[in-house]
Formats: sequence, structure tokens, C-alpha cells
Amino acid sequence: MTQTTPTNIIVWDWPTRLFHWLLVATFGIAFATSGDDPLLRVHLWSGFLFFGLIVFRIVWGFIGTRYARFSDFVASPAHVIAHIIGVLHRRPQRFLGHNPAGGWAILLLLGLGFLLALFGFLVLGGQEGYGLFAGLLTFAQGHQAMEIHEAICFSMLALIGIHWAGVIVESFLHRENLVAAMFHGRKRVENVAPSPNSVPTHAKLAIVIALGALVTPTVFLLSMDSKPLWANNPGLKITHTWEVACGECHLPFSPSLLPSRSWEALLAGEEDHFGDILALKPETKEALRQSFTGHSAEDEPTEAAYQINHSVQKNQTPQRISDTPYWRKKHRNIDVETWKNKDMGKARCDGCHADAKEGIFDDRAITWHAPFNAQSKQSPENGR
Amino acid sequence: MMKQSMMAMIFTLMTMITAMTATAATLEEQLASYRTQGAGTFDPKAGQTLWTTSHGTDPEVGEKVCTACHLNDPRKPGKHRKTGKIIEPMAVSVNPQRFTDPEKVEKWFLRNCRQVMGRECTPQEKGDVLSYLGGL
Ligand code: HEC
Ligand code: HEC
Ligand code: HEC
Repeated sequence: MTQTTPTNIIVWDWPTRLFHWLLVATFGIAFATSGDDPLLRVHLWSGFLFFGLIVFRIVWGFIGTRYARFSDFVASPAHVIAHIIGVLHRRPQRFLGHNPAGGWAILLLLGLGFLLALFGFLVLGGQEGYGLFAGLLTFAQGHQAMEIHEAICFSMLALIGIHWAGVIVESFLHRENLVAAMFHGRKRVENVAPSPNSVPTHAKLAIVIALGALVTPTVFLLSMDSKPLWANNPGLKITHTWEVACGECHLPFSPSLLPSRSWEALLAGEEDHFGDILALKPETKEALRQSFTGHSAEDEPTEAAYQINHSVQKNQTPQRISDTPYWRKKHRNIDVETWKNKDMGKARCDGCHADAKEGIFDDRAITWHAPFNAQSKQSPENGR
Repeated sequence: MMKQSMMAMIFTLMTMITAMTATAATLEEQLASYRTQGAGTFDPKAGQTLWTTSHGTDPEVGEKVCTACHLNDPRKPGKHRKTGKIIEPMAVSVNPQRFTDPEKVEKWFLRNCRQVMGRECTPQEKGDVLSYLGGL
């Protein structure tokens, strides 16, 4: 073996390093903004970037420089076990690129990251009705996707923990700062004559930059600001009887806005319907019953139906949509004066929601917004 | 020019006449059916009185009077006092669609009389109201 003087060579090319720290940042931001609505846009932006980065890294794993390639660091299980045994004996073999165990951690992280983003898109489509998957999933399915999205996120956190442990242990055992190496890209080479680590050609770089520049805004555009590509939400249908009998004095409320026991109670109480007398014929009542059966809050795939149904306790039977906890929560910032105004009373859903008749209640279809000072005198309870 | 406006006028007149005779026929039928239920001759004045008479104030719904939702002038559009929904004019002269569906007429008489007067209207009262609204 020829003895050469220790030198430093670039192991991690700059695209890999940039990728690594941007991935850390976007994951962190997305994690910190994963709560509720107000920060949703930030969460989505960082999520889209995260997705673009993962896609880049997968491509780079095939066309990048030597140590960035999957072929360099994806080892057989036998090698992985041998390496772990080496670590346990405190004398693991040293690798310039990822070691066999670390390589698998990288591969798993990339795979989980890809799934994380994919399920994010499913949640966005199912729960918010935006993006590539809008209209393909029900709200309830979107909710399940959300649970998987979260589970993947926590598996990733666990894996990140292992990744860190590996970095610290290897840094300690080989007396080299692997974290710093991910910043400057250099590693010490001792015994082996370094084989030249070819610099990425302009062509390769161009491909990757173009890809990154395309993926993120495209995904963003498709997801947020345009209508769903192949899913135009036609809304929920109501029967002719329902539209006529319940549309004479107000908007024929979509049956999806209350559980069926509530509609049943409204039919039973038709002799005193909020001060009006409905005087429905028995056959009309029966036709109305058929209109809401299978189309009530328990049944329909929309967010409003799902949220209203889940906000009402099972032993309660609200007779007003505006009495359900979800409705109150959503309208708590609208002041009393607004509700006293007959033209904009609580039952005038269509006064503020352009898609009220179809029962959709998309954020984008809200045509009315609370004035700035409304917060101070809020109290929907007194607003009858 | 003259010829055209003449033609337009004749055309409008003709449609108005057909519309009037069409509603008059159904209104007549409606009134005739009230007569078979025991009503006498109908008095538009009595109909107007019923239309504008208040039956006190209910703490929940407000004043009990037809004009709470329809208007003193039935030729103008009213508004459901609680839901705010616009109610098309009740006078047949402005809204020829009125009282063309006997089932609808009966349904609303049932509802509104019970709500305003606390009882159903008699055939006499219904006929009075319709002859008032039909003759405006
Ligand atoms: C004769 C007029 C009339 C008819 C017909 C009518 N309603 Fe109503 N409805 C009212 C009034 C008045 C209110 C109270 C509005 C308010 O307080 O702002 C109301 C309120 C409601 C509400 C509560 C709205 C809220 O605040 O969330 C529901 C639900 C409702 N109606 C359902 C129905 C259904 C179902 C039918 C058909 C069977 C129907 N209505 C037919 C007059 C009517
Ligand atoms: C005075 C205007 C107004 C009226 C009337 C009104 N809403 Fe709303 N509604 C809003 C506003 C504003 C929001 C957005 C609140 C927010 O996100 O903070 C909203 C939000 C909602 C949402 C949640 C949408 C989402 O995805 O965030 C639903 C569902 C909804 N309204 C249903 C109804 C129904 C049903 C009625 C009729 C019974 C109704 N609204 C009447 C103004 C109104
Ligand atoms: C609470 C509001 C309200 C009150 C009070 C009220 N009405 Fe009505 N009335 C309505 C509404 C709403 C309609 C349906 C209008 C439509 O279909 O365009 C209606 C329809 C009618 C119709 C049927 C019209 C048709 O096209 O066939 C008649 C007749 C009628 N009202 C008579 C009365 C009389 C008489 C009174 C008083 C005893 C009265 N109404 C009081 C709300 C009211």
C-alpha cells in the first residue's frame, strides 16, 4: 500500500449540501406551521419546496457526483450488519461517502419524505378541496390521509433522531466533524489515493435547476390558485320537493348541513317552525323525508357536513344549523348587528356564501368579510 | 317608426288582455269554488280590511298582520319579515302569476291565516281577499 500524505477532497458537492440544509429548513418550517388555518399557506409553501427538493435529490441520486449517487451508498443488508457490528466494537470501517447504515437512513428519509408530501397533497385535496386531488377524495378520506400524513411525519422524526445519533457516533469514532463536512463538503483522505470526484457538468446542472424551478411553482399553481384540473365540484343535489317546500321562505338549506335526526325533528315540529306554520301534507312530508335520508350531515362527503356532524353531540338534536358548535365557531367573529339585519340574518347563508345552495361552502366562495372592529363586540348567541 | 310603435302597442295590449283573461278565468274558478263552499258575494273592501287589520303582537314573531310580509300596497314586492326573502307583488295586475295554482293558494291561506288570525280563513274571507288582490 502506498503511503500518501493526508489531503482534503470535496466529498459532498454543493448541490447536495444546499439540498441538505434546505430540506432541514423546509421540514422545520412545515413542522412548526402544521397547526391550524392561519399559517396554512406557509405550511403549504414549505411543503411544496420540500417536495421539490426531494424530487431533485432522487434525480441527483442518479446523475450527481460520485458520493451523491445511490449506487455509492445503498449497500446490501450483509454490509449493513457488518458495519453495525463494527460500530458496536468501536472500530467501524470508515467510508468517504455515507456508510452502509447511514445510506439506508438516507434512502428511507427520502422515501418517507416523498410519501409525506404525497399524503399532504391528498389531505389538501380531501379536506380543503384544493389542488391535484381536489374532488377525488371525500372530506372523511382527507381526514384519514391527514392521520397518515402525521404518522409519516413522526416516523421521519424518529429516523432523523437515528440519523443524528449515527452522525455523532461516527464523528466521535473517526474523530472528524461530519456536521461541518456537510457545510464545507470536505473530508480527509489518508491511505487511499483519491479518485477524482468529477464536478457536475453544466448540462447536468441545467437539468436539475430547471427541474427544481419548474416543480415547485407548477405544483403550487396547480394546487392553490387554479380550479382543480379534472374535478369541478358540482355540489350536492337537492330534490325538487325539497327545493320547492323548503325554498319558499328562505334558501332551501342543503340537507348536508344537519344530521337526519334534526331534519326529522323539524318535520315533527312543522306546526311551529320558528314562528311560521308549515302545514305540510303527509305525502309532502314523506317525500321530504326521502330527500334527506342518505344526504344528511352523516352521509355527505363535504367538509361542512363532516365538521357539523362531528361538532354536534350524539344526544343533541339542534334545529338550527346556526346552533351547531362548528357553525358558531366559524362565525364567532361576525358581530350582533349583522345578525340583526334581516337581509343578512343567520339563515341567509347565500348572502355571504356564493355556493350555499350547492352545500359546498368553499373558503374561496365567501363574498362577505367581517369588518376589522367586529372582534370586540362579538357574540353570536344574542344575535337572534 | 310610427308603424312600429303602433304594432308594439297593439302587441302589448293583446298580451295584457290574454294575460288578464287567463288569470281572470282561474280567479273566477277559485271564487266559484268558494261559493260552492257556502260563500256569498265577495267584497274587495272587506278583503282590504282583512289585509290590513292587525291582530296584536306576538313576542316571538312580531305584529300579526298580513302586511308584515306583504305590503299595504300589494302592487309592491314585500319581504318575509324574518328571513328577508323577497315576496313578489300580490296584486294580479302587476304579477299575473298570482293565484294560478289553487293548491298553492290554499296552502298559503292555511299557513298565513292561522299564523296571523290564529284560525283558518272562511271561504268568504278568502274570496274577499282574492277579489281585492285581483281587482287592484
Ligand atoms: C312558511 C315559511 C317557511 C317555510 C316554508 C320553511 N321555513 Fe324554515 N324557517 C322559516 C323561518 C321564518 C325561519 C327562521 C329564520 C330566522 O330566524 O332567521 C326558518 C329557519 C329554518 C332553519 C334554521 C336556520 C338556521 O338558523 O340555522 C332551518 C334548518 C329550516 N328553517 C329548515 C326548513 C326546512 C327543512 C323546510 C322545508 C320543510 C323549511 N325550513 C321551510 C320559515 C320557513
Ligand atoms: C354575514 C355573512 C355570513 C352568513 C350569513 C353565513 N356565513 Fe358562513 N361564513 C362567513 C364567513 C366570513 C366565514 C369564514 C370564517 C372564517 O374562516 O374565519 C364563514 C365560514 C363558514 C363555513 C366554514 C368554511 C370553511 O371551510 O372554513 C361554513 C361551513 C359556513 N360558513 C356555513 C354557513 C351556513 C350553513 C350559513 C347559513 C345557515 C352561513 N354560513 C351563513 C360568513 C357568513
Ligand atoms: C310571515 C310572512 C307572511 C305573512 C304574515 C303573510 N304572508 Fe302570505 N305569503 C307569504 C309568503 C312567503 C308567500 C309565498 C309568496 C310566493 O310564493 O311568492 C305568501 C303567499 C300568499 C298567498 C298565495 C299567493 C299565490 O301566489 O298563490 C296568499 C293568498 C297569501 N300569502 C295571503 C296572505 C294573507 C291573507 C295574509 C294575512 C292573513 C298573509 N298572506 C300573511 C308570507 C306571509
